[in-house]
Amino acid sequence: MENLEDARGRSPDEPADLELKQNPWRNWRPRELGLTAVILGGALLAWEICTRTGLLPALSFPAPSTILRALVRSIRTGTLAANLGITLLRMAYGLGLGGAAGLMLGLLMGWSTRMRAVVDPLIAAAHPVPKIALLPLIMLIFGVGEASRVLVIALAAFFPMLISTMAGVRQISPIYYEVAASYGASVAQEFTRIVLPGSLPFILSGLRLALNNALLLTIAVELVNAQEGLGAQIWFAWETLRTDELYATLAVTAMLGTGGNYLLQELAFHVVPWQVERP
Amino acid sequence: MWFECRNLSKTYRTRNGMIRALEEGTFCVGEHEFLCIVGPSGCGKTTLLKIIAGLLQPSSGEILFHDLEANGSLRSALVFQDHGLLPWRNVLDNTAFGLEMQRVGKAERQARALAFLEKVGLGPFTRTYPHELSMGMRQRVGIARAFVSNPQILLMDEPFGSLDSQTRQVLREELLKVWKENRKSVVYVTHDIEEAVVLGDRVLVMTGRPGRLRAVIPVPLDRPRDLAAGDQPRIAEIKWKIWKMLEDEVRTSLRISS
Repeated sequence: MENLEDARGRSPDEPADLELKQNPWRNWRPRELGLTAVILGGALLAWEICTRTGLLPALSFPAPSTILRALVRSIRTGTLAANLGITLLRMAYGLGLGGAAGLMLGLLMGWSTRMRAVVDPLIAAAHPVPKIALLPLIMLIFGVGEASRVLVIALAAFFPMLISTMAGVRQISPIYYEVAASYGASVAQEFTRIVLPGSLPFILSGLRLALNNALLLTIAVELVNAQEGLGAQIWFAWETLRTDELYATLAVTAMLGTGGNYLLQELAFHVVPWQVERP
Repeated sequence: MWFECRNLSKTYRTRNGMIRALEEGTFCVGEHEFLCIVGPSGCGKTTLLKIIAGLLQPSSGEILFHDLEANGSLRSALVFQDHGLLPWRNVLDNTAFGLEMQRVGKAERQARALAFLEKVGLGPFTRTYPHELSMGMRQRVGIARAFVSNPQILLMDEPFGSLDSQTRQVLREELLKVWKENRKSVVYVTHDIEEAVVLGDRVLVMTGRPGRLRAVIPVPLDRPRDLAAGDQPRIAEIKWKIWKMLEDEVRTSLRISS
């Protein structure tokens, strides 16, 4: 209880909540977390021993210490920072473009029944297409360059954002529109005071899905068609059979996804304080 | 400010044809009058209230508002059955919502909301969100929102319907106290006959499907009406009179022979 209140940065003179919200990220219990660390550490140690004693082939399973050294090396030489920067930038562009477009169209489609009736079949038809399969076509149209890559990533972010936002607007109880109308709200007020805040929790979960999808597509695009970026680094490591570097880059990519999700979770915790979250 | 409802009727179009929810409702609500509307469930009480609130258009008939205040203040505010608080707003911002819709500046609307909340003892909960409050507290905030918006007519749709009877009793008293300090015309819908008799200057009895006005019963008793003391026989008498009007209909609708 106390640490939850601390976590929300409340001063003691503020009224205590009757029902405390729970942030799953802050709800990790130290004892269980310690057990997780022991299991992970044990597995890594076993791996280290198996590789060193030759039980595991060093080419496919380089020892964790070797991987760590490869990671430190790529940090020292600056290749990691450069590739990470490029991947992040691509992802940010794609997420920004696709996310913003999905948000706007989603709000409109959630709000207007007519708009939804017209556009929904198109979305339903286009959504299941694996976006990576569109890369050749998009390159044919927009050329082999950064624009095509960002566009594919944007498409990957667009659909989850759109669908979540639309669902978010549609789940707003009609009673809130009646409340707004009974107090004389204008259309603009209805939008900013009811539609936006009412759908915000769904918008945030849409953003999280969009982020994960954008990361997936960024790496995929870089694997098949790029000279720089984490995906390219992974592919390059595979082609030159530098498996330690392959593992190191994979680990960084995983941390990128986890970090992004963590940040969004924190964001959600602060911008939708009325939403009770239970782990 | 007073208003009259003339020949109001409302027909809903549904998949199974037309449903008449309200028929030929004609009545007046006087200046600062507390009018209770009582009737069995499904008799069109809420429909009537929403028509007065302007949320529904009547199929025929009209409402004439007389001597509306010229300062452009809100004509009516509705207190919803299930409080209708916005879950994404804390108590203070929910209370100030009506003023915000009327484009009252932030500092002023928060000050007015806070003043009212403190008067009714909700001051410590200004930063609390609705889901953290009990049902009774939520409805108090719903009522605070309506009063702070300073409407000329206060419309209440079974505001205490989902509360336990003790809470209801206390909140009724609080409502009367606040109403005495902020006199408004009130239209209060309930299915509880006793509640209607304890609160109203007059009780409008409706019968159902389609909703018709059966009678208007005056309650010539001073407030506060004490259920325990000398008012009890008079209250019981009026209650009995209203119950007799509704009894047959309730039995018929349940198919119970008398």
